[in-house]
Amino acid sequence: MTKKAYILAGLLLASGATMAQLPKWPIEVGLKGGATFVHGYTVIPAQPTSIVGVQVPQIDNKNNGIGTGYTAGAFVRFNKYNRKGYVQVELTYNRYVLKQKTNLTLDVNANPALAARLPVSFAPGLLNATVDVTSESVIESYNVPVLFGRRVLHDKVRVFIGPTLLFVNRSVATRNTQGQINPNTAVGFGTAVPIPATAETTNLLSPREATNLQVKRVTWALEAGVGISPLPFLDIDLRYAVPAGGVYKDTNIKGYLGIATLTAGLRIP
Amino acid sequence: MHLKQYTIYRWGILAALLVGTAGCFNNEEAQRVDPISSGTADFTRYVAVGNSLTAGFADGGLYRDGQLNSYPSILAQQFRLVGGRDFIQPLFSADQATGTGYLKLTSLPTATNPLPTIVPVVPQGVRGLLNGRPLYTKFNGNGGINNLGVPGIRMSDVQTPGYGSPLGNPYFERLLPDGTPLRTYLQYVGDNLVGATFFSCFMGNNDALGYATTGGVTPFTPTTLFTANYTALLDVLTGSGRKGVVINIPKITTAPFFQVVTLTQVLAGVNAAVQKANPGAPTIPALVIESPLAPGGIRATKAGDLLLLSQQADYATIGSAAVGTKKGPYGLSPLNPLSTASVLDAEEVAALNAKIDEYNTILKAQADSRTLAYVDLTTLNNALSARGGYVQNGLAFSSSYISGGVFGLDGIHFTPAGYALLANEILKSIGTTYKASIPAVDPTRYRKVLVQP
Repeated sequence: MTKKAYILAGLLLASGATMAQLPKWPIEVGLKGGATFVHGYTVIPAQPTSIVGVQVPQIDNKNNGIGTGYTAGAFVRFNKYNRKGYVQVELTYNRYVLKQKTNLTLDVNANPALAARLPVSFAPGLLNATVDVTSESVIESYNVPVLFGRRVLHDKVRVFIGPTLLFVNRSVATRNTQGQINPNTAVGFGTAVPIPATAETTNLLSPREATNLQVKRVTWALEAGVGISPLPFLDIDLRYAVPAGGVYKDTNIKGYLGIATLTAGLRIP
Repeated sequence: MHLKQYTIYRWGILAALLVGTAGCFNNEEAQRVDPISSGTADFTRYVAVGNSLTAGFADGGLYRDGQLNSYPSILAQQFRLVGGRDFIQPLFSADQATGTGYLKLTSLPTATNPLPTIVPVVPQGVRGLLNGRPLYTKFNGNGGINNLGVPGIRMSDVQTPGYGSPLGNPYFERLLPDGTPLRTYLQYVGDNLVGATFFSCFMGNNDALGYATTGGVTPFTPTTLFTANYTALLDVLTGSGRKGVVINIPKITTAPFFQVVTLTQVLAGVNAAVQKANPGAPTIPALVIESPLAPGGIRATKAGDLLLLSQQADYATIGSAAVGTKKGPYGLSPLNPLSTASVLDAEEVAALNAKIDEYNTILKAQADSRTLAYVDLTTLNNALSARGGYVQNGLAFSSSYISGGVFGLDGIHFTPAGYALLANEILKSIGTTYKASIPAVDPTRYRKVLVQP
């Protein structure tokens, strides 16, 4: 059983002790907050550079643990739909953190910062470097989910699904790189030279900085989840979303991102 | 609380949240401040006048990659940000990219070969030979050329008819239209100034460099001729009130050409050879050289004497009685001193620097009298020679041979990174004189000496 399945089972068990959620008002409003958990991988296709014969090879960014962020905002729940069902609209501010790692070998000229550190330049194909890169990509966005829900299990559990509009406000990637420049005795570069660990931050909303990794300003996700109400005014929701509208402007970037959110909501009396 | 009041109260909280967050949206574009400005200058059509440094000469030759990274080309790229238009250079074509040929570095020093491996690249831009000298592929600049740099040109040459003939300077000959071999450089400049709004003038180096690289054999250009020709050149360039920038002559003896081969190294080699042949022989403390400016014309080497990168083959014959006057061991006997052409001795260095100061005084006076921007390369030159080098964007550039990143394999001319540093110095001066705000380039993103197969 996966961790998510355990959490889901726990929630369902806990629902036995929860209260039936018969809505008191046809329209309910509330404030909510919680944590976000992101995982996923991305495959960035090989990119040409301004130097003939040099390209940045395909980068396989693998998942490097769960990235934890936060969510906070408000919701409005419209209960007029036969009291079993409801429509919930939210406005939240969210921080998502995606942790990834990769390992690649590339021509030193494919990384201008690396090439600049060498006292001499090398023609393409003469010198390559092997680097390990870990990255933390952060997206902060205003989200507007529109969720269609229904009360089940004697009204003790809510299940819901719907689209979420994301308006990205900030997105930066922090990359930590280390590795080595590999030797090539044919040109007198006899021993490997370590590349000391370096960190760089990139604004993923800036076309100039992010280049092909530029993040969309507006996108959408598909979200589904379950919720319980252990107290009359308290909602605990667990949901999972996938950014179906894509995260990057470059549609050639493939991969999978999953966003789990655990929140507590206080309905305002 | 009544239902209506509850509703207002709850919606009020939501509205407050909405209003509170609406102003927080991060807009990178809105935060941009754009200070770029041409100031009081007009960079619509820029023309560069000068010698090999202007032409993009590098690694002992004029070739396409060097031309593409010339400092005028880098400047023109920045001038585009403030209204500059096309900048035409007399490039060798991609098919003839090696141009006049040049030196290339194929390997760094290794355990078995302590010297870098430098080999010549075959020229592709030669259309024929005349009296054993190459004639280079002509460049058809019908639309007007912007980079008028001619390798080798001196101030003394600018008004010489025939300087661009097949018997003259082959770099100038390839630029002149067919049938105009007697056109002078000054006339050629005038021909290409049509519509020009801004100029750079980097001339005079060769009037001193020729003396330096030949160990003092080639005479300096007489000051009166230098002044007359420089005045004539600036008269043409500043016609119609055209604005521009004048670049002075750096003290060139800090270049690797004069610093790579040292007296200490050569003496160590000579003494090692002597000890091998005659174990226990006394150590030779100095070489014996011709020094025309010293009393008697011959003396032992001393601090301040500079050996030349181009004369390594000559230094390899030191001690041989089969070269020179053949009246004793070459370079070790007063009867067979090292040729004056092989050493820029301390007296000649002093004469050279005095002459450069004299020339620069003329350049500065001319620039000031015409309210032109004036670039003094002394600061850059000193920074490159200083311990720790000249740090740009976290990286140190220096005048060290090959590893310094600034000078190419000939030890005199710049790498693309070196030309980028030069371009930035010129941009600084333009900014000061014309109140222009043009971004500097990042020299760390330009290549240094290139290791290539």
